[in-house]
Amino acid sequence: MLIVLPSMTTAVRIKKMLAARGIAAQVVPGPKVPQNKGCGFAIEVRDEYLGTVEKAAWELGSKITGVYKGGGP
Amino acid sequence: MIYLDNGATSFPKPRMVREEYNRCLRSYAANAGRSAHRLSVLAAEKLWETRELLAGLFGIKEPERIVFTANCTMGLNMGLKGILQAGDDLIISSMEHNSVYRPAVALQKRGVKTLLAQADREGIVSPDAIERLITPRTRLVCMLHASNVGGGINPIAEIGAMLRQKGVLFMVDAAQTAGCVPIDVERDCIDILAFPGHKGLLGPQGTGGLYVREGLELTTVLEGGTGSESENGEQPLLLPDRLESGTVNLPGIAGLCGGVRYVSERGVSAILRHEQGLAARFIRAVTNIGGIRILGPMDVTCRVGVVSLDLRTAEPTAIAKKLDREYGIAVRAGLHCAPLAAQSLGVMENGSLRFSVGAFNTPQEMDAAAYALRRCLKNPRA
Repeated sequence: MLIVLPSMTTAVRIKKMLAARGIAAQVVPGPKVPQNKGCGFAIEVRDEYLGTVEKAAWELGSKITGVYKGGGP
Repeated sequence: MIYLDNGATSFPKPRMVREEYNRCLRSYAANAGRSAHRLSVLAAEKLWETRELLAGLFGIKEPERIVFTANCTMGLNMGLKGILQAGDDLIISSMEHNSVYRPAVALQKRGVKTLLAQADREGIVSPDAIERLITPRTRLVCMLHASNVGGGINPIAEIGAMLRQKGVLFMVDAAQTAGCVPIDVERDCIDILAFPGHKGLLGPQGTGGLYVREGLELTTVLEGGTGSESENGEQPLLLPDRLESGTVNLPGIAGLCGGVRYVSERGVSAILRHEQGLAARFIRAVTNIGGIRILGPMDVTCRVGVVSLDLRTAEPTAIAKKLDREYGIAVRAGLHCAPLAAQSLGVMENGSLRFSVGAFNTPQEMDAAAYALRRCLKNPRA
């Protein structure tokens, strides 16, 4: 699953938070879609961790700009 | 060479600074936060690691509220110009460096009134000296933690507590103290902290930072690319992006990361004790030299490792030149970019001769510097 975030700093922070909980994740380029004209970064994780990432993003005061299911490490 | 100009830039740097700097340039000096390829992610992770280390050093709970700057001056300008508007009062001290004094003068032309809190004879600014200047229009107090001329450490915790109670913002210039005097933004009630990377934090030149406490929003003085929300013409609201436009100095920050790690491992208090011990030794050795006056507090526990001398019988610049050429000792002479402090300490006419110690100086070097100074002053023109 790709979870698109607005900034690299946010993506790196969420990756670190996930790693602290033993969850494998990586930062990858955001998928090219019309809504994503900017510099998009995504966290790639297994689908089951969507809620964890959503909670982490909320804690950081960041928004999630897109979710694309399927795949992930 | 005996290097005693650490008040300007620390030298030498710890091995881990050089290693981090080199490793970055060799392995991952890509653009952090722009692309999302592996090197860019590594670069972004190094920035975050450095923010976390700095946050740990300064008691900051939210590392994202530290933005990287090119130096302390840049951070001070961002803070002053990001907070103050026409009609506001600003209080600065009579010991300020031009990094605060000049922006204050520039802001006066935009309708910000600047008031000067007078330091005492040793160059220390008391909470009372500030409190008596506070009016309902006072928005911000901006002052240095320690003087780059007199070396005196100001009681920022007391000042911060007083200002917090009165609802006045407090911005601290930690140019001479970051990495060598303990700072805790919560304990010291600091709203904005500007610090250089290339002095006590032992990083390379071209690095520094600015902390802005939660709930406080600065007007931006620089807008541009942040690698985030690129479709939006407005600057992003989230920190650090909001205040960090343009590509950051990644190799420098990687080096700074090594410096902060070194400082954290050795301990800020241990470094302070080391530098105060060296300053005390030097002061003892030069006290009885005729024709000099030691500026700043005589109690070394109230000063950083900066010892400036008023040379009543010789030109500081001539002595600095002799120390360099004949004894291989690097010091600084003049006003030290701080005319307000020079005025306050009575050395406006000739300036002063400054010996500023660092984390790697030794007692033997201080003895050698005192000996060389004595010789130079015996025959100042030869």
